Amino acid sequence: MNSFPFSIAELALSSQYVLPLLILLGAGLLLMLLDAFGAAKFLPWVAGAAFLLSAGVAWTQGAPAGRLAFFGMMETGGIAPIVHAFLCLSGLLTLFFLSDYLDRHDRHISDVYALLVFAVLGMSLMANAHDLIMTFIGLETMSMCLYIFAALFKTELKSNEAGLKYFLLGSFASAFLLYGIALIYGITGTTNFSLLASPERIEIIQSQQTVFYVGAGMLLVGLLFKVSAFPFHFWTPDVYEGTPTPLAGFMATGSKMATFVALGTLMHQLDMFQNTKLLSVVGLASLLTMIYGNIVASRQQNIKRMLAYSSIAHSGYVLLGLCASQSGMEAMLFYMFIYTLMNIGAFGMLGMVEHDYPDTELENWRGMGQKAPLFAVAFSLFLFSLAGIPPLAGFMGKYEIFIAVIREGLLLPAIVGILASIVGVYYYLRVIVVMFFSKSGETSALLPSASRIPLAGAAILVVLVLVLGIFPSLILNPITQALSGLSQATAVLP
Amino acid sequence: MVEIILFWLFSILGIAGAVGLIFNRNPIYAALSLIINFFSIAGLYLSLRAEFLAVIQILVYAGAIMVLFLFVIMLLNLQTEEKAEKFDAKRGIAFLFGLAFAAEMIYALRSFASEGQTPLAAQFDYGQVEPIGRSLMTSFLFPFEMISVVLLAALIGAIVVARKHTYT
Amino acid sequence: MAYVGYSLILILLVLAFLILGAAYSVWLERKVSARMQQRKGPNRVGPFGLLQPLADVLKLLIKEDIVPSAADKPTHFIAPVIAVTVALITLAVTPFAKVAMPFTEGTGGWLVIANVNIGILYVLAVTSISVYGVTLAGWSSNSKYPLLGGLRSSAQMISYELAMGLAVVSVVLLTNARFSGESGYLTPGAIVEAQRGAWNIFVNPIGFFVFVVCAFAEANRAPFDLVEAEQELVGGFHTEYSSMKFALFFLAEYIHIIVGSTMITTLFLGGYLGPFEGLIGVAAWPAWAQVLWGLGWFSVKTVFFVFTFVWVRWTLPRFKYNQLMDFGWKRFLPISLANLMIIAAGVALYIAYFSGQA
Repeated sequence: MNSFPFSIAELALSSQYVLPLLILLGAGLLLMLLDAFGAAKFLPWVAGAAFLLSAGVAWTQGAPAGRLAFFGMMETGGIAPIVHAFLCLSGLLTLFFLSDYLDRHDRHISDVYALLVFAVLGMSLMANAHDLIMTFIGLETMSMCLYIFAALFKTELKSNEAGLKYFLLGSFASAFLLYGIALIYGITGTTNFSLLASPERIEIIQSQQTVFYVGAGMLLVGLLFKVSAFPFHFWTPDVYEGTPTPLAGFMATGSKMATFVALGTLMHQLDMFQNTKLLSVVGLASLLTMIYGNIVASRQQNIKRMLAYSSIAHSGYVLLGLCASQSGMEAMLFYMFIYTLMNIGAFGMLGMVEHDYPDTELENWRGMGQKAPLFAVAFSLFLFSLAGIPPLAGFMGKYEIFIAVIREGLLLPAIVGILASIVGVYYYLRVIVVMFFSKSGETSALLPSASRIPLAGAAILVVLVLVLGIFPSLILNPITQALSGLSQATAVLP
Repeated sequence: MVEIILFWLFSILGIAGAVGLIFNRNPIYAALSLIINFFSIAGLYLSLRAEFLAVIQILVYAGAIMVLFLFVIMLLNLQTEEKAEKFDAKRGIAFLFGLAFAAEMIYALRSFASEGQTPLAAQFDYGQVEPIGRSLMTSFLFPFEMISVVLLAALIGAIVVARKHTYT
Repeated sequence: MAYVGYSLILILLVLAFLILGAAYSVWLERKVSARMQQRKGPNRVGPFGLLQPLADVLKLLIKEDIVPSAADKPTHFIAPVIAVTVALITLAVTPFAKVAMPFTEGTGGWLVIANVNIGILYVLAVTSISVYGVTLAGWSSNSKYPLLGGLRSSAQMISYELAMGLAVVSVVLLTNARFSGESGYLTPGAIVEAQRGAWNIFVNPIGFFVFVVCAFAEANRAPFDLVEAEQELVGGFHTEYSSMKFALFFLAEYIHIIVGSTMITTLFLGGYLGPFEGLIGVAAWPAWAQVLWGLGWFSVKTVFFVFTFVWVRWTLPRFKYNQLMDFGWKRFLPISLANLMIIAAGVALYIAYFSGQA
């Protein structure tokens, strides 16, 4: 008597498709066990190896879009492997700076590695979901880990504030998302992307416009909160400020990349979102986000808060890219990849000196150019890249986005974006000016006293930012290839 | 007829519970109001022939989660909030937004009802043991397993935040 | 509608028996404990003190009802009501016999108040909310000993509910193995029917043990009666209760014992099934004899477990609080989980074996 409607072979095939995820899951459990059995010093290495392995397996698993696993729950073809690899990379890069940072602050919280792995797992689940339920579960996995990151230094007031604020507001946003999903399920009777895109459901949606708009709107609220887009941005600076700096970098990159991919999939794979009203909402949010983020960032006296506002502004650019169609998705992924490199670099280097120059106040960085010239130069490089100055990678990212937007005929938004990013140049340059053109009198080592691992990480990132600025096709080509099969592939349930 | 009476009974009780949760100054009463709300929702599930959901709602929410809530409230010995909070501009705006949201929901759901279509979801026997068990083991196998990661992460988080300093 | 009528009659009967049974459980407890301590126990009111419970009830009824001035009055009033109500409603799904008679037509042939298809989950749900009576009583008294008792109770209930639930799941699995493919295997009736041939106590002894211990814990009985540990907490959660409200808590405790015994009987001892039913050919008996046979065995088993509850209380010393928690989380939960896995593997093998033959 075998009443199960699926065979073991089918299950095995699905498991093979999601192998990169299973590697992360296993690694997370292994990390917890290793921690329990007193092998805490190997944890960063094990986590790093897991990220590398998982990313490697995903990279070799390329397939046309529509290769679904587990009854249409997960997309494992198309851009999924590449997104997974990018997310693993953001985790890996964070690791470079994380353990040194924890050591310096004398907080050896070894659980953080397992959480980092679970966070990346959640991001990947969310980004590559093919079902709204999966999107929600991924988002919750990711958010749960991020809440803990925010509250990690629990004896510090700022960290407490960050943890509580993020947790309460994040839960609220998740509730909106869930309510939105419930309404969409209520009218269509399904949460699966393939089924939602089927003609009969589209017909239902069209006959139930009002409920659909409310549901989709709430869905958008939940997702826009996670990328700190304009009306839902207010948590960002406080949370980033209280979060341990390398993890704040991770928060600003990985989680946003995952959310953007999920949002992009919803908007471009499902016809229901191909609808001018929703697109214009996203577009409006994007414009306001850019303007607000850049203007407020220019008034910050604290580098960490400045970077937080800048991350709001960057979300605006990417959202604008999302409003463009296919090429926007491509530009978005490319941009988020570049942004991951430079932002983790900036946050990581900030973390390296946070112990010696406390509070990350801009004032304390006076004369950094003389005190630690090499450090200052590298940090400036990341800032230039964030500002989008050629020939650095950040410029290529912005270029791709704006070109995609202009190609879609959205000339006015593109101009607003470009103007906003010019405002952005001001505050990045301000930091550089403070570092190099104000005297501090003392000179010291070329580099701040950091151990080799974070320095190596910073060096790798500097090289990547330079190289990708000149040869963007190294990353752009794989993305284009992965995306090229996306539009014509009509996903079928196994 | 009985169903309609029960529907209104549970709906009104449920809303009363939710309102009581928000406006009670005594935390224990607020928690009890929430329990009433949970029971009414379980009643609504029952009237939808979703027995399993109804029982799980009581078992998990009323029987486990709210017991823990009460436990914590009693352990911390929370007292009734003494002074009424001031009704300032912020609250006013929040109130307006809440009202707008409620209006929006009512409008949307009424438009749904007025078109005379039952929700698709209600047409299936989704709330019973067998369909739920079957779908958890088939189409929802992967999410079902992945939820355990959420719970695990939450568990670690609770320990990380609550544990005393044992940084080695 | 006839079905509803029969159910109503059954409800009244069950309520009457429960309340009477609770009163006589008190008598049993006092008699048994007296025997154990070489005393005589109640022997003045009626033969063997059999009218003692009635005298007690009368005394409690006419005592003055004192509500502490600092108590939270509404909650103080509602707590004993919750305690008794919740204790009473558990028996709604317990089958007392199986026989084809007019009044069992609406319930699938079982003599049961309601044959709900999620019956066993209903029992678990009701058990899980029974903690509110004690907890609220502890809080509303606004006094420190009751509060401690209430806190202990909620922690204890939650800790032991898990192991209990897992033990029940193992029973459900076994039932499913017998009735594979048929639905409705969550009804207690089906669980009893599945034990024709082999009672679950023989098939699933670990589950039985875990369930019995958890039933003791859920009933707040010794050795898990920390909720009312008189040496530490005076009277525990009911310190500030007097008169009829106190009597209600007392009633609830003994109803819990009876209900716990019926659950153990139903889940593990074959409920209304007698031994060697196939050999003596019970199925061929007239309907009234079958009912009596079923009710008889059900009562015998239940009374035996009520006796066990008493027996254990006067034999074992009370746990310390940390032991209680350790026991629940570090012993019973793992044991219960392991047992569930063993049973699941066994069931899988059983099904595979029989499907291979078919």
